[in-house]
Amino acid sequence: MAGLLERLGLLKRAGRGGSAASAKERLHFVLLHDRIDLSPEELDRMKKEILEVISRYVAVESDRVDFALEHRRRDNLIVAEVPFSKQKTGAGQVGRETG
Amino acid sequence: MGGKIVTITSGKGGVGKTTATANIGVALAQLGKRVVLIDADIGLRNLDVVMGLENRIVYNLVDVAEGRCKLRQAMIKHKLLPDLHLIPASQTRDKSAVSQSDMIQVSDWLRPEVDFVLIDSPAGIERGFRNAIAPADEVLIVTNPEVSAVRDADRIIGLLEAAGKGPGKLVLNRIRQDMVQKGEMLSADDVTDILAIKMIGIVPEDQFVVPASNKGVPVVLNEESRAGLAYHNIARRLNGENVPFLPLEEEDGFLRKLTRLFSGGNQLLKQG
Repeated sequence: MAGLLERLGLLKRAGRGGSAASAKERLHFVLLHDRIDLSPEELDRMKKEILEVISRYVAVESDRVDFALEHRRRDNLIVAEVPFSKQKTGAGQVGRETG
Repeated sequence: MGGKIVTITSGKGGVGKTTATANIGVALAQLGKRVVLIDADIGLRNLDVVMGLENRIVYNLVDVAEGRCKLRQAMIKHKLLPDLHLIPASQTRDKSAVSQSDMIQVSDWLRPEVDFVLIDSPAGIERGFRNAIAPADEVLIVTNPEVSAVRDADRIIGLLEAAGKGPGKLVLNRIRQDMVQKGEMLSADDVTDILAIKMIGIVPEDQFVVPASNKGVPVVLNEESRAGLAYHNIARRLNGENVPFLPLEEEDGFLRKLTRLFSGGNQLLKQG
């Protein structure tokens, strides 16, 4: 029964599974890049500067860092995944020393 | 106060701007409104042929801008609707023949005389587009449920906001509900979700649209046409009415019949 309905296209929800889903996904990707309107060089510089700041406080595993643009609900997001290890010596003092 | 200036634009060409302008204009005139349509696509005029008024042109928008004729002389009266006029574009000049202040001047002249001025913008984001939106009180963005058209609409929305004319309202044209249902076409919800602006109309793909443009009789004059009905509803919404959106299913489409069959219960199912 479910199989039959599915084959008739009655169970498949609009926008899922078919090419519309990839249209939506591709549009989100393209629009994020259109909207942020930064050159690859500028994006790269931004990433480096963000990492510099984080590295002042914690030890960052820089080879596993990942930056991505994402669309969630109505928001355009810059999502940074920055794995860190606790072993940074004296990390807690940095802020106090410089500030 | 006077009339409202509404610019119809899209970014991408070929999505149905001119057809939308013609049909919304005719529908507003049918509602008893005084309407002037301006073709702002200088050098590539088309609104005259879509309206079936191409053989009545004497003067055009550039003649008005350059003072060769009075505004009235460039206004062509529609054959069936005496309160509907067209100011055609020049076919022999280019976008530089008209400036933003020309467009604002013409709109200011028309404002006290009419209820609506609809400006058909050229495709693109350059001078012609800037001219077309300069006098606008409201902007409609026409798009199709396709990646390239939606992307260009997003760009236009950004430019409108930057120009203080945003965000505009969306006309989603050429939607096919059968394909949406199969997941093979972006739905109206998908497009509003992506563009995050208000929808003013959803126009289904319709077999009557091409014959209408062949004849120069806007499809809104064909009572059988669902696209025509959709344009009629857009006109009513522009006019401030609260009109619910059309159910998009094809009345006698295959899928609709099947849905009806299944909702009829198991007995019918066994027969089918």
